[in-house]
Amino acid sequence: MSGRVYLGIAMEYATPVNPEPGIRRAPTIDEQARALSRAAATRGGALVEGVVTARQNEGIGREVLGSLGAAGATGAYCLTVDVFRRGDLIDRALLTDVWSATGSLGFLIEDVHLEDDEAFLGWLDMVRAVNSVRTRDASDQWRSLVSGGAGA
Amino acid sequence: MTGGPYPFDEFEARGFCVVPASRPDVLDGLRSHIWSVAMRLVGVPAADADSDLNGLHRHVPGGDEATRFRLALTKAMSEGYDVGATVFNAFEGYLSRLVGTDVLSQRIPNVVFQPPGDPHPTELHRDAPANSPYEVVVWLPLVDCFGTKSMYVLDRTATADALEAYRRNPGDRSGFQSLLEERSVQMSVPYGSALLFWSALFHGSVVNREPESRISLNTRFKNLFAPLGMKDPFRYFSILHTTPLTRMGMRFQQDEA
Repeated sequence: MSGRVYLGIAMEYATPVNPEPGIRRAPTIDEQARALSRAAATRGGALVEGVVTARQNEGIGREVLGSLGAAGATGAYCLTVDVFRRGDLIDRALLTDVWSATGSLGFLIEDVHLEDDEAFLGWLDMVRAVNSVRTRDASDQWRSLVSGGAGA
Repeated sequence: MTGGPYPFDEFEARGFCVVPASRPDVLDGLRSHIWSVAMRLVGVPAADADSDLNGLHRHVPGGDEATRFRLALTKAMSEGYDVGATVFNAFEGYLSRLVGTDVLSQRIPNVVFQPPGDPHPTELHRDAPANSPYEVVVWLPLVDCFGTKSMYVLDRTATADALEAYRRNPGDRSGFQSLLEERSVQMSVPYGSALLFWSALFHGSVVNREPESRISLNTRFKNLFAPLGMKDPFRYFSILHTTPLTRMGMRFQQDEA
C-alpha cells in the first residue's frame, strides 16, 4: 500500500461525443474524479479533494506544479496521458517535472502506473517516439513522401 | 535469416502468409502456459494439450459463459507473463523482417474462443483504419484450425475490390456478400504456425461447425517509428525492442535536445 496522496488530473473534452469507439459520450469531470479516486484507493492511496482539469488539445499548464505543492501531493493520477498533450505533442518537459515533483504517475485510460525512475524513463521513450512520429506525420514533407510527390 | 524470401513475396502480393514458428520451443512454452491457465480456469486437471484445448467446449459450452471464460483467460494469461513478447520471439525470424527491430507490441493480446456452434463468429471487418496500416496482425491458433474452425481473409486485391464495390453500391448487401463468398480465403493453419496478415485486409470467421473448439490468439506489432493509427498508442502498445543505436539516439535527444 503506497499511502500516497494523489492530485487528480481530469480532461475537459472538446466535444461531448465519444472519446473511444463504443462509448456514447465523454465522461463528466465528476465521473472522472470518482474514477480517479477509486484508482488511487486501489493503489493504497487517496485522491486530494478537487481535481485539476486539462482542456483537450491544450493540455494542463505548468500551474499544475503549484497545485501539486499546495495539495502536498506525492503522486498524480491522470485520466489519460493526453492531459499533457498540446496539439500533436505531449509536453515531455512538464511530464518530467510532474514526475520529479512526485515520483508517482498514473494514467487511468492507458492503465499505466509508474513508480520508479527506470519505468518512467522507459515510458518516456515511448512518449518521445510518439511525439516524433506525430510531428513527422503532420509535416508537408511526409505527406509528399507518402503520396509519391516530389518530396520523395 | 529464418523464413527465406518466399513468405514475404506472398505477404506483399496477397497481404498475408502462413509461416511455421521460427522458434517452435518458444511457441510450445507459450501454449503450455495458456493451456495450464485455461484448465485452471475451468477447474479441470490438465492431461493433454491438444485434446484439452480442442475439447474446451465440454467445460465452457458457449454463450455468456464462453465470453466470461475468454475475458478471464485474456487477463490471467498475461499476469506475470509477456504473451506479446513470446509470440514475437516464436516468430521473430519473420516478424523482424516485417516490422524491423524497433518494435511496438500490443500490450494485451486477444484470445478468441469459439466452441462448436457458437453463434457469434467474428464479423467481417478490417483493423486499419482505425489501426495503423503499418501493423502486422499475428493470428496464432493454439489448436489445428481448418474449415469453419478457422478464419477467412480477403487478399489485397479482393479487399480493394470489396471496398470499391461498397463505394459504388453501399446498399447492395447481396452483391457484397456474393463477392465475399467468392473471394474470401478460408485459412488452414496447423498448430505450430501462424497467419501473418496486413491490418488493412478484410477478415472474419463463420460459425464453427467442426466438432472441436477453436482457441487462438491475435496480436499486433508495428515499428516504433511507423505512422500511428487513430487508436491511443499508449493504451494499446508498449515498446518491445529497441536497437542500441535507437537507445543512444533517445538518450541524446533527452540530454541535448
